[in-house]
Amino acid sequence: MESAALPMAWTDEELVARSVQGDTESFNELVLRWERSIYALAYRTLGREEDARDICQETFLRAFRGLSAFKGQAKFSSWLYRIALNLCRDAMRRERRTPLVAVPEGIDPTELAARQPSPAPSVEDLVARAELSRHVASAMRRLPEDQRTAILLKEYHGLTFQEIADIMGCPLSTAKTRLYQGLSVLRREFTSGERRSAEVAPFRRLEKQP
Amino acid sequence: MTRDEFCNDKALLVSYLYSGCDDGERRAVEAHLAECGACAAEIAGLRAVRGSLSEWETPERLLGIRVAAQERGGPIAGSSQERAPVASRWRWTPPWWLQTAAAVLFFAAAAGLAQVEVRYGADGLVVRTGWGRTAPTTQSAGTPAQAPWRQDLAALEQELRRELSSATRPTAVVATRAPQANELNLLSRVRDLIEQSEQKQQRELAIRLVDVVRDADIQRRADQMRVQQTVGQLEGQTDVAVRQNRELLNYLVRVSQQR
Repeated sequence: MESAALPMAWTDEELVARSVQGDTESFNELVLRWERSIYALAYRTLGREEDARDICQETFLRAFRGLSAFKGQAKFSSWLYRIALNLCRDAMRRERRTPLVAVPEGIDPTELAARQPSPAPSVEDLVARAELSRHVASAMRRLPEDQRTAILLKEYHGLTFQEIADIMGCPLSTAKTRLYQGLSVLRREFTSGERRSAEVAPFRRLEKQP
Repeated sequence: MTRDEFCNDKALLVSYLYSGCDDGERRAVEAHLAECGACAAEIAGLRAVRGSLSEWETPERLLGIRVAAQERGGPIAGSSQERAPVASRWRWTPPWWLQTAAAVLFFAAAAGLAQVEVRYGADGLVVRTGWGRTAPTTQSAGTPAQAPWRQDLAALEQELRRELSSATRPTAVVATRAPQANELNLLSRVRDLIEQSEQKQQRELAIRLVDVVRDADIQRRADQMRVQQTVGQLEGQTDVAVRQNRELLNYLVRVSQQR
């Protein structure tokens, strides 16, 4: 099988077809296209880099093994997302059963600042962004799984409502409702946090005077 | 569609929020938003949430996963960069029982080096010193003839006698015998004395051991309390820092909005 000069223009479906016939290079092209997305999804779902890496690896391994079962009834990416989400769910269940306390991975602002050699963003800016990022992450983690998954797939992966419904195995209207409910919970949480901090803000600014 | 129907149709609202409406729906929603303050506020709030969500970054990482075909059988999937995730995942603190076991092991090893034998059996805690055990064997290995060690032995006897007589509870039964006996007698007397001395030392060691354990326990409790206090203080400080960061952020957001 000739696999030289893999054109980037090939569709996922064409690459899948070639992979099914045994062309591993075509499959590796699919991996290259989707591993960042799958990793990001797993990271945002589980909150730990190591777990996300494991899930990502396992997702592609399962996809490769199950290629012959993939009939093309959905998009290849949707199929991948579903495999990854199922693995994430298993991992979360395992974690709940294990008495080990998983320390949530916060973002260390100093580390973040150290990683950025360019002086463009100020440390205050980085700290603020990291803080917001952490805040969003922890609020998302508190959401029910269905609502969180709907938000993740829409907000960070740009899937259509129908694709989300297909991946989650629910009617279209349910997918939209879950998304709405999740966003509403976040809205309440973010605004209440803002109100709390606005009350102490003037004192904060006074403290900042040198 | 009536006004109430619009307000309650959250699916439509979500579609509009993500630009998933067709033109007709979009115009209808916009007309409704123009006259319904509650829905307009809701859309604005949800847009703000989307803005915050866009700040949630993930570590940018290319794993380099590749599948290699095997001659026969299944695929080999692996990351070309690192195969260590499983190992690095199990950074763990040893459980309390393992830490205790390690401490006991350490103590036992130290006791072994110091020729101290600590045994816990049916007769309770038994502490033996190595000195008492080795002494009789070296003595009995000698010849019964005149030998320089006789003087040493006699000196040892005297010393032990003095030591035992100073003890609070003298148990020197053998010491009443006449000192002019043959060598075997002397040897057995010394052995007895050594035995008694050993028992005395055992008692003392046991008492010291109990003291040490008690002291260690008291110290441990004090440390524990101190650690708990420190952790409490740290938690307080961290909360303050987090709050300050949030305030700073809100301040920046407000400033950027004003511009």
